[in-house]
Order: sequence, then C-alpha cells, then structure tokens
Amino acid sequence: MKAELLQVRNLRVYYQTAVGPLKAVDDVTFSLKSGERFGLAGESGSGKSTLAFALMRLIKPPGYIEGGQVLLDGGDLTKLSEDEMHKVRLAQIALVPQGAMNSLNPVMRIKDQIIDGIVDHSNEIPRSALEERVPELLERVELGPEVANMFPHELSGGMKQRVCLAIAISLSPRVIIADEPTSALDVVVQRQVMLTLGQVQESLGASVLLVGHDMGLMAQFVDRIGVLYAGKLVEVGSVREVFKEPLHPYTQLLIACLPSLEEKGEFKGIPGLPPLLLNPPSGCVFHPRCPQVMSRCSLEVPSLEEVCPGRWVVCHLYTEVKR
Amino acid sequence: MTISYLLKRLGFFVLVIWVAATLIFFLPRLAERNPIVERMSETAQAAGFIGEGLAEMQKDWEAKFGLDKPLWKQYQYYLRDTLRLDFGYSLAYYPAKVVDQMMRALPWTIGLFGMATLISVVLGSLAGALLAWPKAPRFLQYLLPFFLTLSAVPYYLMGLILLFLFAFTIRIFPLGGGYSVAVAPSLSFPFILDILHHSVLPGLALVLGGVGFWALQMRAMMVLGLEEDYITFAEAKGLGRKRIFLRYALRNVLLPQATSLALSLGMMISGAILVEVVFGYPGLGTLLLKAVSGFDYNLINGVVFIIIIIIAVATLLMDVLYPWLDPRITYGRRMR
Repeated sequence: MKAELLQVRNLRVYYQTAVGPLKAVDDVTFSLKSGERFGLAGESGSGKSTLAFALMRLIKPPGYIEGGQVLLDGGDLTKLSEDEMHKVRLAQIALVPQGAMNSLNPVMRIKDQIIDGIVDHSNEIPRSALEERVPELLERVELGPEVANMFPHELSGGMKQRVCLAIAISLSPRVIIADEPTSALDVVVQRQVMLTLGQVQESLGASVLLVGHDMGLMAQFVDRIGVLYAGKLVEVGSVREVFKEPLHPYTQLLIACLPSLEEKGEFKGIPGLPPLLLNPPSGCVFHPRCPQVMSRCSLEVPSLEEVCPGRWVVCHLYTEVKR
Repeated sequence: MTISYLLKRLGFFVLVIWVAATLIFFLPRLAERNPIVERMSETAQAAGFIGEGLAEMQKDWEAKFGLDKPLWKQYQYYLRDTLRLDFGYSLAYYPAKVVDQMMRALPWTIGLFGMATLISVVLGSLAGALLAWPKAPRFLQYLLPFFLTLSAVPYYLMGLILLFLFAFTIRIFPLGGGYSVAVAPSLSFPFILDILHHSVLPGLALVLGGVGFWALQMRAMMVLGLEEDYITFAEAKGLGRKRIFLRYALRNVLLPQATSLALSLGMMISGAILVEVVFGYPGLGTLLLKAVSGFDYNLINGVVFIIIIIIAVATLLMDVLYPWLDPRITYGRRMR
C-alpha cells in the first residue's frame, strides 16, 4: 500500500453572504496516495472547483477556509504563511486550469509564461538554462519548440491546454490538480489531452486530482473516485467498484444517467434540483430527491462510514439505526 | 506591421493635417470681422483723431498681407506657405513673425504641459491600479473619494483655487508669468529655479485636474482585468505578487489606457490653454488668446496648426506602438 501523499480532513470552505455563510465545501475528507489518480465528480455548483482551489489556498473573498486540514506529506497547508504558500504552488501542487482559452496571458510569449513560474521559485538558474528547459517541457506535452515564441492567440484550444500542462509540470510537482481540464475542448482533442496528462503524470510519478462532471472521462482516467453533492462528499471508492455497484442513491442515479452504447433508451436525468446551499435541507442533503428516502433521512445527518474495505459512503441505508 | 499599412497610415496623417489646415483657414475668415480695420481704428482711437486716407491705408495694408486677393488665391498661398511652416507676419503684432512668436511660446507649453501630463498619467494610472489591487495597502482606499472629487474639477478652476490659496492667501508662489520680471533670462541656476518656482502652481493645476480621471479610469479597467482567468492561473503558478501586478494585471490594461491618452490629448491641451491663460503663462495658450482677441488670422492659424500637429503625431505614434503593446493587434497581412 502506497503512502498517503495528500490528506484532506474535515475541510470546510464557506462563502460569506449577507444572510450568513454559504457552505460550498462542507466537512470533506479524503486522501490521495502517491502516484494515484483521484477523481472528484459532481454536478455544477457541487463545490468541486471550490474544493480544488481551496487545496491551493486560492479561495478569494468573500470565500474563506472555515476549518479543516490539508496535509501534504504531513504538513498542514492551511497553516502556512502566504509567502510559504507561494513556494508550494507549482513546485508541490500545480494547477491545470479549467478555462484553457483564457488562462494564458494574451500579451506574453509562451516561453516567458513558462519561465516566469520557474524564476519565481528559484532565482539562481541562469537565463540560458531556463531557455533550454522550454523546448524540453513543450516536447513532453507533445508540442513543437516553435510554440515557445508564439503568443496564446496563435494557438488552438488544445495547444493552449497543453501549454498550461507544460507550465504545471515545469517544477515536477507531487500533486497535479486538473480542474475540468478538457471542458472547453471537443472530444477528440479531449482524449489526446487526457492521454498526455496521463503520460506526464506517470513519468513524474505525481498524483492527479481530476475535477469534473464528465463521468465517462472519470471512468477511463482515474483509479479512485469521490462523488460530491451539495458541498459534501457522499461516496468514495475505487472507480471500478463505484461504477459496478454504486452505493449512494445519488451515485446510482448519476451513473444511470450515462448513455449506453448497447441499449437505446430515453435520456434520463435526476429529478429535482440541487439544493440551495444557503438553506440546505435538514438531515441528509440529498433526501428531497432520493428515491429510497426513509423517515430518518430528514432528521439525522448521516456520517461517512467505511462499509467495506476502501469504500466510504454517507447514507443511512448503510448505517445501523442508533438506539 | 507592413510597409503598405505604414504608407496608408502616413497618407491618412497628411489628409488629417490638410483638412484641419483648411478648416482653420476658412473659419476665421467666415466671421464678418476685418483685423486690419480693427487694428487701425484702435490706433486711431489711441491717437485721438482719425486722419485722412484711412481707406487707402487699409487697402495698402491688405495688399501687404495679401488680403486683397480673392479667397481661393489666398488659400493657395496659405497652403504653400504652411508647407514651408511659414505662417507669415502677425496681423496684430506686426512686424513680428508668427513663427518667431510661436517658437518663443512653444518651449514653455511643451515643458509645462509635457511634464504635467507625464506626471498625472503615470501617478494616476499607478494609483488607480493599486486602488483595484486587493493586496495594496489599506490606506490607498481612502484616496478614492479624493480622486472622484478631483476628476470633477476642471483644470482652470483648479488653477484659480490654487492661485487663491497659495499665491494670494499664503504668498509662497508667484501670481503668474513664466519667470520674474526682475531676473534677466539666462541659462543660470537661479533663473532655472525661478522658472520652476513659477511653474509649480500651473503644473499642479494640470496634474491635479488630470490625475483623478486617470486614476478612476485605470481602476475601472483594472477591476475587470483582475477577473481574468490568466490572473487566477498566474496565482496558481505561485508567482510573486509584484510580478502578477506588473506583468499580468497592469501590463494588460495599458493598452486601453494608452488609447484613451491619445484620444483625450486634444481635451487636455484645451485644458492646458485655459490654465496658461489663468496664470498668464507665456506659452501657446496665452498666445492663442492674444491671437483670437486681436483676430489675428495668421497667428491663430499658426498656433492651432501646431496643436493639430502635436495631436496628429501623438495618434500616429500610438497607432505605430499598438502592435508592440498588444501582440494580438496586427495591421494588414501577417508576414511570418
């Protein structure tokens, strides 16, 4: 069993609003092993991007980290000073951003955008050595050296995302957070970019946290998956098991939504809407939409239980009634 | 940038100058005033009697200035002379030549207006950028209402207020002029100091009148600029605050700021003209006032022409600099 590289414990990220805190990420606990690919799935507004940003301490006001720990190799990132956190970003945890179209500075050459991240982490490297690293990095994400002197507007969407990937791996980080890295790309390019991401991850031995709503993409890419609903992690398990036998009713419905190649069926969704996080339902947040709802679901908040080895779920179906 | 674009742009530059030159030729002449008659009756009034042969004298003078010729002929001569930057003799201050008067006034205006614009644009932009920057020192936030107020006060009013406060009430600065009458103009240290002393209040009026506008505009663009995805990614890259501020945030809103600088140059010059008048500063503004009140065709033409040239050159420079400021802008077909 590999060591746990990144541990997230009881992380809570709130947004300050006029009528009280909005709980975007509520009591989330999971861990990422070294070299592992972990997927965070959830619909829009489930808090998955907020969670990804919180891990890098990039939450901006009115958002704030209310509590919990983010342990990287045992050290708590939430306790670091702002300057120490600057050093951790990119070098230890790197982000592959969501909006690849606009994530690069339009008035800077690609090479300068790759170099400045390296420079701000160690200013001892001579300029000539930095210039040499650019084509190396570009080659690793399957881009030609001529891209170095181009501006972002001269690149296609897929190429821009590759440049972002090259920047993310420029300091050989231990954790790569990929926040819906392919949501702006068409499926063909999506596949190529994901293949490249997989290759560089393996060559670096880094862990990947893939955030997204595309269950199909998750199924193909990750080793383990966590399902977020309304800011809460409702199920964690190996991707094979979760897809074969989802435990939480929400996960079951989510996987049932995936269109199948074998059977032609009606396009399904999950009835109802995600709850408003300002005023979440009592008990289990999913109970108003849950097909297997019981009387205790609206009264008691379920806790995260390991129902069988490596499979965690938050649901009253799997907890004993307390007497 | 291609050569053909540059040629096209230069052609347009010449066209603008020609249209402007034509307008400033015809506009004063459309008014039913005759500067020769006005000048003569002024002299006559001063002398206290009207001599004989006044009508002949008028004809004589008009012939001397070429005003007896038909308008289209005058226009032809005017264009030819303007090309040689020769604006003829001043009608009101004959025998002074327009060019000499302008050359005497130009350094004053360039010095005062150039410095004041530079200071107010740089200071205002920097302050505005910091106002929008969340990690800037807190005290800067208190500058916002100050800038809001300043941006609403016109230059000349600012000049009058400063005059009242610092030259009239507390007499630490001179009331007007470019240098003290008692000092002989020379390239000596005390004389330069004297010039600086005289330029403080008009300069301050221009800086204070402009800085609020630049700060507010910069702040507005910066607030939008900071929302961009590349700022977030720059933060995720763990870049230093200074680099993000200068190279990612500030750098990217320079283009709209530079555009509005070129566009508002005309407005700023007209503001500077009024400030010069308020302070009796010996620059182009005061000269223009003299020219207009004396209905001096040639002097008006000269001064306005110089101002037009300044603005046209500034916009031309801006256009040439655009692709350097923003690589997304290319003119014509890309050569690669």
